Amino acid sequence: MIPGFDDLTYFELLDISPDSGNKEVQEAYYRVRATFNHNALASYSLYTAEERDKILRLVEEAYHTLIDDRAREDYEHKLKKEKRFLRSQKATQEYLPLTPQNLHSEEKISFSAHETANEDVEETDLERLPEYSGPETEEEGHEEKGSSGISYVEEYYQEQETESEEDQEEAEQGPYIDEELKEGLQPADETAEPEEAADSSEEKDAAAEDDAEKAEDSTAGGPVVEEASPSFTGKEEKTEEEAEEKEDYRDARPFSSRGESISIREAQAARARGEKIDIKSSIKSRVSDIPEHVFSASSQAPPEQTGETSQSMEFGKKGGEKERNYGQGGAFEDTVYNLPPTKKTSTPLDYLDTSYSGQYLKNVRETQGIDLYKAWEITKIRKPILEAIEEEDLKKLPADVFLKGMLLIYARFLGLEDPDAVVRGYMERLIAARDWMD
Amino acid sequence: MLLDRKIWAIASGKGGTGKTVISASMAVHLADLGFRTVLVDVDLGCANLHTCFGMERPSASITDFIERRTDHIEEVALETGIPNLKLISGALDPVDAAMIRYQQKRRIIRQLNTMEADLVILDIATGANLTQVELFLAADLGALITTPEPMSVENFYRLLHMIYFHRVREIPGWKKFEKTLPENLLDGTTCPAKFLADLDKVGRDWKEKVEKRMENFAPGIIVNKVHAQEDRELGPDIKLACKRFFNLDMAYLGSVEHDDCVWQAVKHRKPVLLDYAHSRPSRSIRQITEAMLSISRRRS
Repeated sequence: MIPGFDDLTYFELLDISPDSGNKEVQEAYYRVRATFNHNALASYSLYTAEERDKILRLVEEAYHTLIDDRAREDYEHKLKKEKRFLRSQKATQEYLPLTPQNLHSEEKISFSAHETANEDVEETDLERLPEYSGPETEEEGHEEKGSSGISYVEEYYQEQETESEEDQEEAEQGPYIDEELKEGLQPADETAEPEEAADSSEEKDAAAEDDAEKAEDSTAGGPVVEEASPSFTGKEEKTEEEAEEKEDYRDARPFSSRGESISIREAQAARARGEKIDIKSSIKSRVSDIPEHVFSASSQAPPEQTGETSQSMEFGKKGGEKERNYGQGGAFEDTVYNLPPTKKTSTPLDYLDTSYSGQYLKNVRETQGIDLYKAWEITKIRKPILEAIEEEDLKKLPADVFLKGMLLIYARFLGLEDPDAVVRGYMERLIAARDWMD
Repeated sequence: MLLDRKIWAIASGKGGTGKTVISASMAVHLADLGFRTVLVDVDLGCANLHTCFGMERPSASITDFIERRTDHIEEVALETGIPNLKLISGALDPVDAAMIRYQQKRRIIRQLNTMEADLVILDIATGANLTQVELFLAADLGALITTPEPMSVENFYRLLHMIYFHRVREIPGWKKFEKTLPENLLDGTTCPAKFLADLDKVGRDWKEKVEKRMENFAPGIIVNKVHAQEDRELGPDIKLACKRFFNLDMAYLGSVEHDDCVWQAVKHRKPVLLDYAHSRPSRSIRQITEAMLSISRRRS
C-alpha cells in the first residue's frame, strides 16, 4: 500500500470536510491532482511514479463518487455503517491569511507588549485573536466586515452560488418551448431533458419521424401564428410571414429547443429528404414574442419605433442635418445631437431557438461546476473568447475558421457526445443570426 | 510572556534560497511593529547577516559567548541602528565554530529565552546536519524555506525528514526502545507515515507517544523566488504532500516573489524591507511575518 494513503476516506483523501459541497469537491480534486501529478514538484521525491499513479486513480475514484449526488449518498451511508464518518470530521484547518482585522489586533498586541507585559492577557482574548473563525463570532468583525477580505470573498461566493442556482433553474425550465410543439412531442420527459434524450439514438429517430408527422398535421393556424401576427407592422409582411410559416413550419421544427441532438438529426433527415430549410423564415415563424423593432430593423421599411429610442434617433438625424447645413462652425456644435449610446437591445440571437446555443454550452459547463478559468486553463482558449462563445457575441467571436476549431475543442472538453454536431449546430445558428442582421 | 513561541528558526536544506534575506527583513518588520527583536546569526562559519545591515566587521560575535569570554549573551548583541532591533553576529568565529557541542547549544537557547526581548529569530545555516536540526528543534516555531526548483524541494524534504526523526529520538526512553526495533524500520528513507504504521505493530503505546510528540509540531513553509503563478501553488502542494507523507499538518505561510529589487538591496547591503519597502517581495515578507505572529499567539 501507499504510505500515508491507507485507510483514508474519500473526504480525507481530498482533504476536505465531509459537509463540503460540489464546489469544494471540485477545487479539492484539482488541488490534490496537481499535488500528485506526474510532473508535480511537491511529490516526485516522496512517492514513486507507480505510487503516484495509484494515488491519482484513488483521487479520480473519490472525485467521481463525491461529485455524483447519488453515489455520494451511498458512500456516506456506507461510511456511517462502518462508523468512520466521525473520524473524518477533523479536517485540516486551512491557514487563514491575515485579514485587516487580524492585523489590527496584532498591532494591539504589539502595544501591549510593553505596557502590559506583566499582566495576564485574558484567556478569551488569546484564543480569539489568532484563530479567526468568521465574522459572526467576533464583535469587531461585525463593524469592520466591509474591510475584511474574508467577508468579501464569502459574499462573492454567495453571489456566485445564487447566480449559478438561478442559471440552473433557467436551464431546468428550458429555454423557449412552444405549447404547440410540446403537445406534439411524445413522450413528455424527452422534451424536458435534452441530455437524457441524447442517450438512446434509435428511439430518437423513431420519435423524430413521429413528431414530424404530428407537426405536419398541426401546421395550419396554430397558436404560434396568431400570437406572432399582431406584432407585425405591415399588412404585406403579415401575409408573407403567414404564408412562409405555413410552408416552412415543418422545416422550422429542427430548430426547436427541445432535445438538442434530436433536432440536429431531424435537420439532417430533412436535408436527406431533399427539403430546403429556410432558417430565417422558420425562425421568424417560431417567434411569437419578438418586439416590433427587431422585425422592423430586419425589414426594408424605415424604423418606426416608439418611446425614447425613436425620438433620440430623430434628434440624431436632425442634428446631422444641421451639421450639414451650417458646416463645421464651432458655434453650432452644441446643437448637434449625436446618437446616444444605444441601449443593449435584444439581438435576434435571443430569439433563435436552435440547438447548441452558447447558453446551452454555458449550462453544460456550469452543471459540471467548471469555471471559465479552469476551462481556459485546460482548453487553452482564452477566457474572453469563451465568454464570447457562450454569450454569442458576434463582434467578439473570432473568424469562423478558428471558431470551428475552438468549438470542437470546447465541446470535447465539456464531454458532449457529438462534438461535430455541436460545431454544426452552433455555426448554423451563427449564420442564421448573421443573415438576420443583414 | 506575551508570545507563546518566542524563538523562531528559519532554515532550508539548500543554500541560496534566501534565508538570510528573509530573516533580516522579517526582523525589520517585527521591530517596526514594536516587538523588541533579536536576530541571531547561527550560520556559524559562513556568517554574513551583519553584511545585510551594512555593518563592517562586527565588534563582538556569538563566538565570544560560546568560548565563554562573556557570561551573558546580551553583551554580544549589537545595535543595528534600527529601533527595537539587535543583531547577534556569527562572524569572527574560529575554524571549528560550525560544530557547536550540544551543551553549548543548550546554553545559547537558555540564554536567548531569558533575554530581554519579545522575539528572537535564528538564521540557521544551510544543510541537513545535526547542528541545524538541533537548533531548529530548540526553537519554538520553525519555518522552512524552499524555492520552486527540484533540488531545493528535495532538500526541503530531506531536512524535514531529519528533523522529524530527530524529534522522535528526543522522546524520553526512545534510545533504549530503538535498539529493540528491527533495523529496516528506521533507515534514512523511511516514510514517517509508514513508520507510524509499522510502529503500531510493535507497540501501540510508542505509536501514541510519537503521535503526541508530533501533535503540535507544525513548521511553516515559505516558498521563495516565485516566478510564475503555478509556483504559488507549490506551497499548498507541499503542505498536502507533507500531510500524507509525514503525517504533519504544516502551515503554509506564503510565498515571496522573485524580483530584482532583492538582488539590488543585497548589493546595497540593506534589508529589502528598508531599501524597497513597497516592492512585492517586501509586501510578501510582511505578510509572512504576520502569519508567523498569529501562529505564535496560538496556545500550544
